[in-house]
Amino acid sequence: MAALTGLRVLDLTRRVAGPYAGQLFAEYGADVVKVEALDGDPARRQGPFPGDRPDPEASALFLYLNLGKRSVAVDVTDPDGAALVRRIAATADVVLEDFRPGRAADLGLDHERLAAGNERLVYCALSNFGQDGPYRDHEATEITFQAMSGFMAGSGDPAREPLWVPLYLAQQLAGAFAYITTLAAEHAVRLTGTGTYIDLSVHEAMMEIQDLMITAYFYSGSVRRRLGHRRDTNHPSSILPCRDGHVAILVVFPRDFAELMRLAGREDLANDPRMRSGPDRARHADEIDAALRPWLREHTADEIYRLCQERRIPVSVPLTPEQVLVSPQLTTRGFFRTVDHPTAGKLTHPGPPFRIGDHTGVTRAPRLGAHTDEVLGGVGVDRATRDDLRRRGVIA
Amino acid sequence: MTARALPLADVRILDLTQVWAGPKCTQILADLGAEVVKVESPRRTDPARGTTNLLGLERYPDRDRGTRPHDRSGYFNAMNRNKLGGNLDLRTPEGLAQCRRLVQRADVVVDNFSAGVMDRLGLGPDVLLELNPRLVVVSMSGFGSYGPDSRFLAWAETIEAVSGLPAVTGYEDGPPMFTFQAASDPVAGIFGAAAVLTALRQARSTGAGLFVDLAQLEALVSLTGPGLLDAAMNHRSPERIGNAHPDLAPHGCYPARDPDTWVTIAVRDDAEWARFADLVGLHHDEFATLDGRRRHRHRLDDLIGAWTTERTAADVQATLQAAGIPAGAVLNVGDVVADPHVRARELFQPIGHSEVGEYPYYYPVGARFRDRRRFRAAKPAPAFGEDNAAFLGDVLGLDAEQIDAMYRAGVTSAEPLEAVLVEAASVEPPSTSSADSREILR
Repeated sequence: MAALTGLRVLDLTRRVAGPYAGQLFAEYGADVVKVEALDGDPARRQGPFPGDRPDPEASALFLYLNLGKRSVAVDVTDPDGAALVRRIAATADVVLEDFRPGRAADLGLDHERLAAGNERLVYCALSNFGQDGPYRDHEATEITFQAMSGFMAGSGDPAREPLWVPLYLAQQLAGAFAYITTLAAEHAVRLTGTGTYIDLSVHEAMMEIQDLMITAYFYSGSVRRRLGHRRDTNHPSSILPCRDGHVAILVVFPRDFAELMRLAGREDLANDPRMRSGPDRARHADEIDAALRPWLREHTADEIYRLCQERRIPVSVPLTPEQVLVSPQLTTRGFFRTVDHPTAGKLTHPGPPFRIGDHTGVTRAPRLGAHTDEVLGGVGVDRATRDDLRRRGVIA
Repeated sequence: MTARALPLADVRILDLTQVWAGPKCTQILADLGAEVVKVESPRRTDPARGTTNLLGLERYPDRDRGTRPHDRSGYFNAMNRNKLGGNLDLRTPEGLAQCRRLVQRADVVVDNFSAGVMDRLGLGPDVLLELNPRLVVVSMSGFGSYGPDSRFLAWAETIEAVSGLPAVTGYEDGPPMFTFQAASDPVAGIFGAAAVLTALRQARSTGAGLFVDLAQLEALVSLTGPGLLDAAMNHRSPERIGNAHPDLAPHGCYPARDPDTWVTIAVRDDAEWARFADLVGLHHDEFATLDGRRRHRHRLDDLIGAWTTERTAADVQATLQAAGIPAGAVLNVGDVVADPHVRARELFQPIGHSEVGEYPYYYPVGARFRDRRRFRAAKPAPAFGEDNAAFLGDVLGLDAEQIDAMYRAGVTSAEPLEAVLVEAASVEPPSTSSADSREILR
């Protein structure tokens, strides 16, 4: 039995944020029905693909975000299609949607409508900037969220353009917050009998990981500047170039700095009172970098790693995704699992963010519409009706 | 439980977390209504208070540490609102005994110590589950409780480096780069909250408690999923390409008119491109297809930059958004706080604090439930010792005599005792090596 066994989730979302929330539900054992348009979740058309050959059943993005879900293909813009979705919603504990704010009501799929016959329903609406406010209808991709939340302003070199992080950071975190908030609301339903509506903004999720910086602004007016590989609170706390690549070196305590300076052949700086605290060292970053440079140039990443470890100086080597895949720590922990993929074959697949109990998790993302008959049959739509709906292009 | 009570009002959490990752987890749950009892050691207070390490002055009101810096840290005060604060020296038999009583009265125990620390304290998961068979135990160590690196000293930077994130982040001609504020901590905190809620549901359904061994590294690596799949499928790792995108073009960060102002633009399909090209005046043949735009992206970026640099970031954003194109100004924290949309969403909660007074804090839960009054902050972060009477008297149910004895023995304290540890010969030294002081930080 998995943690969320018995929880029924209707996932009307597309692309990244919503589907990631749905993925977390599926991962921990909920029954997640994913409603897709007849031409599928747009993520199916987005790579990467095996061998870079586009295939709606082989998108790594779709695969990663939709394991363990059942797929029902319905045209929700057709009134009969929307009616079908309402039938499924009547049996659901949770609905996840990411329509443009206001659109759900036009489709007859809004919270008020769906909760009318199902007062325990927890309805989570994900959107770019929330259901109201001046940016309610703003378009966004990942870089938009990173820019407008404050995240990019602190990243990159001072003399150059700010930098984004090329991952789905804001959108996956929004999915995680949708999962958390929904599960918390669901927890309360067991006691109160009444569901709720949740307004989840991707922009606000991205702001939330910066809440310490927001507090520093309110306390002292401080605004973080871009400092490239440096921090203004400590140095080194950086990825530094070396002879054959890069190493990440972090000084936490004065003894770390002393040891590092000795390694670099700079005993004179090892106990320099000007360098005792993190902020002090940040002010002398140029001098410290100059001291380290010859030593870094001379040694490989592996050598530096070994030398620092011997002296208990915090150090690590930045890994590429390929290297992460074979990380002894992650493989020992069983973090990766083998997924049988019809197109890509046996695939090493990243596991869930945390494991609960003995559950082995989910390993299959659904083919488009693979469960249309099963799910609709399960809510009383008979074969003849389904055939007719199929002929009319309402379902697939 | 009434409908007006907050969603997690029936959940009591014993919070042994410190610094950022763990406290972020319990902060999320506290804001959702959980009763979070935060237990610090009087001899090693939460480092976010800045007692054992120097915090930058920007963390303090008006950059002033004052005479009670441990109660003035914005870092601590932001992470620990809505929590009841108590302190017990867990390295004393009495402190440990009281903590074990707390375990029996809690639904959840959360920590983010290095692997092994809880065991050495006598609070390993087996012990906790024996004390309370229905308990949810969530440990959030850097690398997990086992594995070749599990005893490796885990810092946010070292975790981030081996997650694969920096290797893909950076300028086209540049080195790997960290995120500017250590992503692994808040990310771990968020997944920690998810783990507590997931495990709680299982425990409530089965009647049996469980231990969740969350690794901060694994939580962060989860955010690199699609890239890992690409690496697995196609045996490759991405090049660093600055603000470009592997699939979309144009996609980047462009200079606006005023010094050091920027605006991001992403164009998702040919229809969007047609509208964008009209607005900007870019009808060159080579840009007509996505393939062409990607191949000639440097030239395309230069031409777009020439257009944006004549306008303010806000103008570019407004103009392009009016045409349904994803454009967003790069805002710093001051800009974000003043942003009209952010103000309209009412995302900040003023919280009064006995030492620093009233400040706004980022507080999104009310907006999420569209019920800002009901989801207001219940209390400020605890000044050290401030909640101790309620902690010892109400939560632990001790009488005045017992409480008095604990204060006299130094098992609990009204003030941080870090200085006392160094000076007083009668105070028992820690039973583990000096390496522990680092581990307590994580």
